[in-house]
Amino acid sequence: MYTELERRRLAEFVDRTDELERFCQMLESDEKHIMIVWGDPGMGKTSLRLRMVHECAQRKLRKAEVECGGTRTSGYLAIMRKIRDDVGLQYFNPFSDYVNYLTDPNYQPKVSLNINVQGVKNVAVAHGAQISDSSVGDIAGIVVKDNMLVLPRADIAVPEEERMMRLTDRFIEGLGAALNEGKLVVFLDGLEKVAPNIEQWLWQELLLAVREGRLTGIKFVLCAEAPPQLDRDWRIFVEEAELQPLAIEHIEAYLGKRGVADTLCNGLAVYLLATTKGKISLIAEGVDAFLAMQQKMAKR
Amino acid sequence: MGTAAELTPGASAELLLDVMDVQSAKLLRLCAIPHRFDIDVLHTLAPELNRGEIEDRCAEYSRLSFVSADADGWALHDGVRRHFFSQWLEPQFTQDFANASQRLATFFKARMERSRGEAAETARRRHMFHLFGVDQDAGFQEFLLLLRRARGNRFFSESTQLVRLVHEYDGFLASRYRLWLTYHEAKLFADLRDLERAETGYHEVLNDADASPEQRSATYVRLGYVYNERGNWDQAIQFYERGLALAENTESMRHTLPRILHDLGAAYRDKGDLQRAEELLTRSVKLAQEGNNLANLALAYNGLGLLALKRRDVRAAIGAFEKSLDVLMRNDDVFRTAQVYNNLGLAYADLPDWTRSDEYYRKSLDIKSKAGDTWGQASALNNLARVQAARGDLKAAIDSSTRAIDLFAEMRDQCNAAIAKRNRGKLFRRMNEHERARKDFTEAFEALRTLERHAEATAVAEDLQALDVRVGLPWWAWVAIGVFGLLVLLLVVVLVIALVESASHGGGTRAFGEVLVSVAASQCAGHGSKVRNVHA
Repeated sequence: MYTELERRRLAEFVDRTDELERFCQMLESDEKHIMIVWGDPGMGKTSLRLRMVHECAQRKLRKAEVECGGTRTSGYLAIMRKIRDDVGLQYFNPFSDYVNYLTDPNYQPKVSLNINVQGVKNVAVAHGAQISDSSVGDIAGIVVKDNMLVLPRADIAVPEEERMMRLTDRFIEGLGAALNEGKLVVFLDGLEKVAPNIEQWLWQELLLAVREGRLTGIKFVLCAEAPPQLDRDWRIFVEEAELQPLAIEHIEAYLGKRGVADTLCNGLAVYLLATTKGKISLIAEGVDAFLAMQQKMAKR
Repeated sequence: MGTAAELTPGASAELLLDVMDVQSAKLLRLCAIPHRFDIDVLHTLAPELNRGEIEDRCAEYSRLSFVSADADGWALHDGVRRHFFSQWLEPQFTQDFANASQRLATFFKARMERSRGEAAETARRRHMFHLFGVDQDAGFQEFLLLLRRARGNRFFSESTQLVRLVHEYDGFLASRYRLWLTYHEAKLFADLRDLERAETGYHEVLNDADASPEQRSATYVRLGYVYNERGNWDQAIQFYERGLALAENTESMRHTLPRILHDLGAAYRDKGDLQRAEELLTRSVKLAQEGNNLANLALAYNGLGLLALKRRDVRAAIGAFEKSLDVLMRNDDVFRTAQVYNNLGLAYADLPDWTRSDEYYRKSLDIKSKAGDTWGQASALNNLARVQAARGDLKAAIDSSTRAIDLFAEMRDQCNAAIAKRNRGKLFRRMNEHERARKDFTEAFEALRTLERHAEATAVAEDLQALDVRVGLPWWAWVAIGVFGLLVLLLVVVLVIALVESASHGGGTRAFGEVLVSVAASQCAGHGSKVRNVHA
């Protein structure tokens, strides 16, 4: 459900018809599974993402949204946890179980972990649980809760590379199970803010599973300030969309949606285009200031 | 602020703030200090407002186009936040900024203490960020604490995030912290294997006139690591020596001497100057002992052990490794003993004392298994297989080798899996199981060729070729060889009979023996010295 703020933003959304059409085409076809939306800060990536999320809601598609950067944790584990929480914990028992095992020394694993640790190789499944015959590690009727710990426990020393690889494998397995129940769209915003090794993980582990067909029925939308360096093999799978500045007619349309009087629209649009070079965030800020000033003057 | 001709992020926001209610505008500027805000954060920023007033402000702000919202609260758009935040760093706002930062640091410290896991980590990061605004010394100490922990766990995304957060204070940071930040960022690039950017960062520190001897010493050593990684020992040694010279003359850096000496010694060892390496490593041991620096003491003994192994002085190597092990035990550093056990296995294999070698490899394997280090286990199993093969227990060696292959494959280490497969192929060959050997060699060759490991692939191809030469002849060739052999044997028998008959006409038993030996020798000439000796 949308907040008041989101509803208003959607109502004020202009242009980006081409990008939206390409997004819709991606949703409908099996040709491309990843879309990269890129442009300078303030070009409207987040607004476009919101519009795409709205499109998913209209099509009754499930979605997961991850925002990176700032003081938020933006490691691979945080990204997977956010997607899992948006999609549904129930699909990710082996993943959550392994996260708990790696971070909590008092945790008793509930799923057969199949890990190469002395004494933990064949962990008993939770008492009273039934094991489904679909895949190793599933427990019917039990949802493993993530303790949300971050630091590795000190009594074992699983190398970080191994933790990442095994967690990703379990996550992909869970995502596969979730996809059996319908399509999913994952939005990743602020990609320029993640560390280089996380970007590498994203392409070489998570998105590779999509490219190789291990995950089907899933689409990714990545928002970044600059285009990623992709080779030819990847470009076939990726829809790239560089956001362009708004044209005068789009600024006029935006002003109309913001409630600026028709008589003022054209002149103000010309001024905004000249001063902002069509950058949507600057246009929006300018309109905020204009409307506030208009309101203040009206009160006088 | 930007001009009307070229608006910059925040310039329009300034216009907006001018027409806003003064209190609202003031609070909105304060919202740029944290990265995100919710009702509790706003209340911390403006304790004079009651909850109702705060909620009204939130509703007001959420109508602004540069404010975004999600489940965690609100945030100013990056560009606008940067604009307001940079204003806070100007000298005239120092006191107001410090006061707001103090309230936020206290707030996030409390949040950190009452939460756990990811929530506590986020609060801790935010606490560190605001602590900078109050007291740079305290902020930087907290930053270093978090950075060291992240680096120790190889959480490079966390390290990147911490460095980026501190960079928000660029221009406000004291020069010593600015330089340390550059230094730590360069270290992070090195961790991420971006050696060029690491080198650029280190040179930036060295080229700065404000860099202290501590910063210069640490940076020279780090540059040494960069060149060490590139295999350029001479350049690495040059930088280590500069770092060492500065550390020796700087009291506050003396604790780093054992480590620098170790690294320098290891570089000399790798370069082949074993005499100089020994001097440095011995000095490292001495200083680590004096400072009771157990971690470096263990490292230095291990370095001496590796040096002795390189000199083929296996007994000395074993002695050094045992000392390293002893120190690690005293330091409760269980997981690191696995590497030293492995080195002991290696040393005993050099003696060769297969029983002890087997014992130490098993100890290493046991610790890696307890640690949950799959790659380490695969590596130890691979070593163990060699020892088992040398002891003649080929079945056990094949079993260990197979486990190693499976674990390498599980870790998606195709290269080591292929090399282990080649080793297992050799074991099968020794057991005359040529088809299984061929299968392993072929698979190893294909994998190595795909991975473009040409030297290793060529070696496997030679194994495969040798196997074909030994067992690759068609059946009819084997029949021809058999028939030829029979014919030769027949000829020998005929010759012997003929000679015996001729001897019986002119000699006794002794002459008969001599003739027999001379015939046998003539058949084997050129095939063995033993036979030639008998004939002589």
